[in-house]
Amino acid sequence: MYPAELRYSRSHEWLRVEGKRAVVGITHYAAGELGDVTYLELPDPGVSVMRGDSFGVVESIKAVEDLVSPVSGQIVEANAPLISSLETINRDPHGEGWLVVVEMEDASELQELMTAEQYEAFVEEGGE
Amino acid sequence: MAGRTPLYAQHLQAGAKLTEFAGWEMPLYYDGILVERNSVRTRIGLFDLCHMGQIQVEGAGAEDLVDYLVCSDVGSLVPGQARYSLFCNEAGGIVDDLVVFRGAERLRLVVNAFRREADLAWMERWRPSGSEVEVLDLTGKAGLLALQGPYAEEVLSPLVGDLSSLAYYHFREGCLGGQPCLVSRTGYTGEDGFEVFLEGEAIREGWDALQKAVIGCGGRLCGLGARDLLRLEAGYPLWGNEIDEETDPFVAGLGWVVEVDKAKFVGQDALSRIKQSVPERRLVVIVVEGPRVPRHGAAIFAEGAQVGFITSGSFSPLTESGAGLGYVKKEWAAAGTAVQVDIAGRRYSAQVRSRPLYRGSVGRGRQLKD
Repeated sequence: MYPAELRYSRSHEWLRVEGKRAVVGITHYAAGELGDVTYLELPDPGVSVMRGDSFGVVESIKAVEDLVSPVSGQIVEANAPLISSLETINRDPHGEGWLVVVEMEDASELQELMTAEQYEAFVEEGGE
Repeated sequence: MAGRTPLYAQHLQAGAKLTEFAGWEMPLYYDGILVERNSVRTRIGLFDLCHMGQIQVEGAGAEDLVDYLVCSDVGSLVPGQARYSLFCNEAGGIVDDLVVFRGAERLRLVVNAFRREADLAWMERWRPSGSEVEVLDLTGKAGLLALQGPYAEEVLSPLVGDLSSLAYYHFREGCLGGQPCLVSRTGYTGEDGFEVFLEGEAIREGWDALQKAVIGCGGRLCGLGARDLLRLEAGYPLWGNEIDEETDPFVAGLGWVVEVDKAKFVGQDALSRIKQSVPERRLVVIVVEGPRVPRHGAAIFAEGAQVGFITSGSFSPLTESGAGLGYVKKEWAAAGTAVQVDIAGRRYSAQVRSRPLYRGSVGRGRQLKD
């Protein structure tokens, strides 16, 4: 369920390392908790974030959640076409549902994230 | 630990996303709130309502007790008739909303799951001492399923017998898969539909039979998420949101339920007074510009000042936007009034509309006589 090559945060974002860059999205668990996504707000490229900062909003009938950056750096890409195709987030949260690309400032922050196995256990215990 | 209805295993098997509601583990959705809501609006949906409170009142004085507690005239109900009504307190506030089912020998009250304990305590409080009335909590033993949508009659009739002559807010005995049941033409979705009362093993067997029929005709299993969106679109209140112990029926648009001149009942004096007065606020529909969801408690502004608050909100395919219900000061309650709603700290443009947002196939059979 949770791809082994990704890393995971306690606030249910996933991250894929591509050299100095990190592709970020929300996990299958987060998408399931939300249900059908009805609104998405993404930052403009160029915005800087610190690890733990909110970089956007995702909303469903059930809840509204901040998108929390798992790493510090600069947003270099945002998946803007997703906004007119929100069902993609529910359908393919770990793939086509990617949200932003962050140019990382400090790769050591990756050590704070969970592996797929750790995240799976985390979710099984309630995900909090 | 939250309670489980007799259909818990069925819900897991059907892939339900569970949620805790009023102390019960219930399906929030199976495939999605929106597709399930769409299914009820265009075709048919099946709901597990076994979590709802079912209170049976029987014995000498049963009708009198119920008549004393609700603001509707129970004495005029004939066996096989049901009525939506309210328990009101002495200040005219709403203790709960409920449906009274008037049987030949006994009455059954279906109450909000969340209010069941409060309702039982309320009934105990007003029971005359020395009374022989029996008030039985059947919750968890008696089951309740709902089949809602324009195809409900067509799908259910082959299973329980012809329903074309069953009028709205009436019920009768039936047989589902060889097991006795009660079928009433009632619901909470704004579409035509039925609620089916079953006991014991018949609950699971009935669910299986209904599920097969519903899926077989292109319908869906539906969870509480769809149920809430459907009732919101239809303008029906939810206790704890639009109505509560501090809210009277008139301000909530439920004045039509209150028969102030009937025989003595709890809250009658207060309600008679309130009926004569002009409410300072009104319950209206709020439609947001854009997809953001207005949430319970969110402030409503007009000309920079707060004029009300949201009671319930969702995303409605009717407007393809956020929409909900809320109270606004009467000066701002006219349909078409421009307002703003606070959503997550920002103000979004919205418009007042008159209730309800939607009128569906509900009430089919209203013209039929007993």
